Amino acid sequence: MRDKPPEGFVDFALARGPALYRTAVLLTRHEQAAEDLVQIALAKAWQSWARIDGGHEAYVRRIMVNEFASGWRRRWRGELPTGDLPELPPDDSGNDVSTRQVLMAALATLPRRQRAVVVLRFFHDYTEVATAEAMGITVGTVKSQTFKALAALRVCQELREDEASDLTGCAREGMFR
Amino acid sequence: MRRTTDDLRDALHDAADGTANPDVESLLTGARRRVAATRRRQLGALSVATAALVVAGGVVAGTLSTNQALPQPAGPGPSSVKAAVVDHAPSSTRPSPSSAPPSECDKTSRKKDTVVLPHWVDFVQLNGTQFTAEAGPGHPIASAHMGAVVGRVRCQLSALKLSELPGPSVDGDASFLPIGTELHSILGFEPSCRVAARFEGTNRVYLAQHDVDGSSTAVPCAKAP
Repeated sequence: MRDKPPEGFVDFALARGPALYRTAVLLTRHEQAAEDLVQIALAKAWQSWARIDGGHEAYVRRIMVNEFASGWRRRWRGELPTGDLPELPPDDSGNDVSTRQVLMAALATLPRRQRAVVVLRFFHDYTEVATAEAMGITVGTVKSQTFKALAALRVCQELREDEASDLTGCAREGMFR
Repeated sequence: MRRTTDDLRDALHDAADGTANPDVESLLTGARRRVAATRRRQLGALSVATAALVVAGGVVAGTLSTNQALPQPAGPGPSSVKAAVVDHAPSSTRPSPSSAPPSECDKTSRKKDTVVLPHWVDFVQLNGTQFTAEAGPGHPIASAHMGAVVGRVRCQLSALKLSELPGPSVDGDASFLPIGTELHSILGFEPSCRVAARFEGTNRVYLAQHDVDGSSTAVPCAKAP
């Protein structure tokens, strides 16, 4: 290990730090915790910088997501993942801003792994395979975690993939109202 | 109201866009601090590993604060070690300067404020092999059973004021045998199996050691026939 940052590390952190921080905020929903998470990921990347074969940002993001999903600072703020999600307030206004606020509030209630899957799949637009690789889990787990997360968020995945199709699949699962 | 994955995407991007830019310098500073902390932990672990290595090399060591006494042998084996402040081997057991080869001990650092207090095992290293004295009083042998000189002690570790853990022992290192002590072969044994040294009026037998399942034990050829 070295005292001086490895070559290219500072430039990377200066350039990509804000983007990593935004991902961390989505994961942690708290700015201070996000800062901690980015620092941890950067510190780990620092120590293995020379071994990273390109894709530094993806590498650091992977560290960050796994650090978060593995229960990093689980006791911090007394936060505990839970499978029992609170009921979301009805959102009949049709107001986009309200919808997004509700979604973000609901996102914060998801268990960590589901939250990480959502951020990778729907913020970074990772494929299921890429998400599985980044998190070190199987594609099947990504699918099931995505399904559970979307169900909890009352988001119907089928709507986007086949907007014109029969929605009974979603309706059967009670995935939206 | 139907919520779609596009809504979710928009919500995520809105939230991300609404996030204030971080102080990137503080991110870097925090990362640097964490690297330093990791380094300290690793150094701590390395010290433990070094101590384990030194145990394999014939000593058990710990660090004590200022002006601690160093152990000197009152007899063979670790159980007979007692503390005494000495800078050099007792004159009664030291060979005359003219006959003693230069000590390799001088390379070992000495500081006055801190000292490592090792608990020595009675050993000597020769030709890459560590020889440990028989447990307890052992079975001193007659001088007639001692053969040719096969080596000499070049560093008496227990006479050192160590400020840090010594590294792995090297040929010529001995815990209690004074510098210049001759190591003899023993009739009936290969020098790679047993050697003998005259110490405190007796001819002490040292058995070659090897590691078996992580434990140091006498090699088969060192055991009594």
